[in-house]
Amino acid sequence: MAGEQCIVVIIDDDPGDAELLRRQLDEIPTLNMDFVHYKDTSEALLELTQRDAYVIFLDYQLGKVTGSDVLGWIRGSGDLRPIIVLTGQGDESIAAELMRSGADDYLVKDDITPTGLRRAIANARAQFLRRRGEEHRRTLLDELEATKVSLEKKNRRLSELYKTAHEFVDNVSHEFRTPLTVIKEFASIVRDGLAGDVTDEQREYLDIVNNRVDDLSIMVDDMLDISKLEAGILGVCRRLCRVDEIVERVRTTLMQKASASKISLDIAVDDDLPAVFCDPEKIGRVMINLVVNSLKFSRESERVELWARQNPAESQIIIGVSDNGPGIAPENVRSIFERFKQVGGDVRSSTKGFGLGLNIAKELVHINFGDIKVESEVGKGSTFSFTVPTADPSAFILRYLDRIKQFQNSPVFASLLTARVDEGQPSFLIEDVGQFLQHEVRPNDLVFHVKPNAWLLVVASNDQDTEVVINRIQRALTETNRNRFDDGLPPIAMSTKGVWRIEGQNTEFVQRFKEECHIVEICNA
Amino acid sequence: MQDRETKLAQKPKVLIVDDDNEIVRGASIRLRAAGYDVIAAHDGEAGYNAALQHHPDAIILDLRMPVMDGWTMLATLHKHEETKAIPAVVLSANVVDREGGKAMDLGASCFLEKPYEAKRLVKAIEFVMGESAKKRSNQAGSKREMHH
Repeated sequence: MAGEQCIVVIIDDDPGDAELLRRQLDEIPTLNMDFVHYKDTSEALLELTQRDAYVIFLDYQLGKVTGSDVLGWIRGSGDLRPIIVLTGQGDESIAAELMRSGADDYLVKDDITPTGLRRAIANARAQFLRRRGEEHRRTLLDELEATKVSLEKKNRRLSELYKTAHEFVDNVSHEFRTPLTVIKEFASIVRDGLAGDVTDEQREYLDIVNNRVDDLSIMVDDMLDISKLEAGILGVCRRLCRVDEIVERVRTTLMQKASASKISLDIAVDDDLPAVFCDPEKIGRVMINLVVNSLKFSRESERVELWARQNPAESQIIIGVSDNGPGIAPENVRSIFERFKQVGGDVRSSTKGFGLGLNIAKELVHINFGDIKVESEVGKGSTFSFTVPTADPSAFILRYLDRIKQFQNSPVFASLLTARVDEGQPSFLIEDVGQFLQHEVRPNDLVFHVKPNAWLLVVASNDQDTEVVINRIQRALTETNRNRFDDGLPPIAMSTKGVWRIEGQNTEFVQRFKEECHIVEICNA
Repeated sequence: MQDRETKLAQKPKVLIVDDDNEIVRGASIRLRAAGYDVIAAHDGEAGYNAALQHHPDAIILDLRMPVMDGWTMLATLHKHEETKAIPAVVLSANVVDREGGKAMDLGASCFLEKPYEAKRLVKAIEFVMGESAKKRSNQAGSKREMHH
C-alpha cells in the first residue's frame, strides 16, 4: 500500500487518545495516511457514508453510547468497511461481543504496539476484502437466481401460450367442422331429392354449396397442418411408391375442383417414371394445393396442367403445375411461398383463402427432402414445380445427410438401427408395424422397409446412445398394444448397427447404409 | 317418406349418438331413406343405455360429447357382454393425431371425419354390419380358443 494515500477515520471522544493513535499510526512506514478525527459520534455517522475509509478506528467508550451501538448502526446501514475497536484496560471481556457485532479486530488502548497495530490493520483489511467478496458473490448469486426464476416463469408462460394456441387451433377446427357437416348434409339431402322434387337448376346450385363447404374444410385442414408443422409433430410416413399411384389418389378431387371452376385440367405423367421414396399422402396434398392455387388464378375455359417428368441426373422426379393465368411479378416471386402471402390483385375475391396453401406445399415438399420453385411471366402464366427423390438408396441418403446438415440444430450423430419381427406375420400386421415405427421416430428420421419382416432405421441426433431410441420404441409398443385387444403388434427385436459422427463425406456411414438398405415394395391395394 | 310396406321390425336398427341435434337429424333422414330404422341419443351415457335397451345392429357415435364422451362410451360398450358385439362407426370432427386411431383401438370398426359424404356414411354402415355378420358366422363355425 506504500505511496497510496489512505484515509484513516478515528472516532474517539477523547482528542488526546486520538492524537496518540495518530502518532502510533505514523510510525508504520508502509502506510501513507491521512487522518480524519470525529469527536462527535452522530457527526461521524452522518459523514461516514460519504467518505473513503481505509480503516476505521472506533473507541468503545463514547460517552452516552458504546462502540457496540455505533458498530451496530454502521453495519446495519450495509457498510462493510474494516473497523477496529479500541477498548480500555480490562474491557477484553466484551471483545467477543464486539466481534459478533461486526468488528474486525480490537486493540487495548494502553497495549498498542506498532506490530500489533499493523497486524490489526492487515487483519481488518483482509476481513473486509473477504466480506466484500462474499457480498459480491451473494449479489451475483441473487441476480442469477432472479434471472433463473424469471426465465423459468417466461418459459412456463411460453409453453402455456403454445399449448393454448394449439388447443385453440384444434378447437376452432372442431367447431368449424360441426356446422360444415350440417350444411353439407342438409344441402345434399335437398339435392338428392329426399325432401321433395328438385329441378336441375336447384341441383346445380346445391352442388355449388357442397363444393364451397369442401373448400372451407380444406382451409380448416390447412390451419391444422400449419400448426402441426410449426410444432414439429406432423407425422411423416415415407415409403416406396409411384407417382402415378399418388396422382390417381387425388385425380377425382382435382377433376371435381377444375370442373367446378370451368377450367380444363390436363394430367400428364410420363411413362416409366422410377419409383419415389416419399409420404404419398403429403405429396398428394402438394399436388392439390398447387392445382387449387392455379385454378384460383385462372379464368373460365383456360387450361391448367399437372405434369411429372424424370430428372435422372439428380435422382429425382419433377412434378409441376402450369397455368395460363396472370403470372406473378418478379418482385413478388420471392415471397410467394410465405405464409399469409397472397400476391396480385387478380385473384377473384370470392376464392381468396388464408394464403396458406403454397406455404404448406413448400413445407410438405421439404419434409420429403425435395425443393419447390416457381417460374412465372406476367401475362403469360406460371409454373410451380417441385422435386421428389427417387427410391435410389445411395442418392437418397446423400441428399438426406445434406439436408440435415442445414438444420438449425444440426444433429451430430447418425445411427443405423434394425427392427425385426418374426417371419410369417399377416401382411396387415407388417403394414401396421411399419406405420408404428414411422410414427415413433421423429419426422427427420428415416424408416426403410428392407425385408418382408425387417426395417432399417436412420436416426440422426445429438446423442450417441441409441438405447434411448430403442427404449422409447419398446415403451410405445407396450402402450400401443394395450389398446389393441384382438390383434396386438408382434414383438419387435431391435439392434444397433452402428453410430457415426456426421462430418465430411460420411463414407463409412454411407457404405454401411448401402449394404443394409434394399427397399422392398409394400404391396398396395 | 316412410316405406310403410316394409315392416319396421325387419329393418336393421341404427343408433346415432351425437350432441348436435341437427347432425342427428340429417344423418337420420339419410339412413331412413337408405332403409334403416333409426334411434338417437345425445350423450355417451344415454347412448350406452339406448344400446342396452334397443339392441341396435350398428351404432354411429361422436367423440366429443357431454356427460360421457365417445371414447368412454366405446370402452363401456366393449366391456359389456350384451353390447360388445355391436359394430360402431365413429363420426367425428376430431381429426387431430391418432384420436381416430384411439377410437379404433377402443373397438370402433370404422372412423369417418366430419364433414362426411352422405354416401360414405351409408356405405360405412353397410360395411360394418357386413363385417359383424361375418364375424358372427365365423364364431359360430369354429370354437374360439381363449389365450388369456
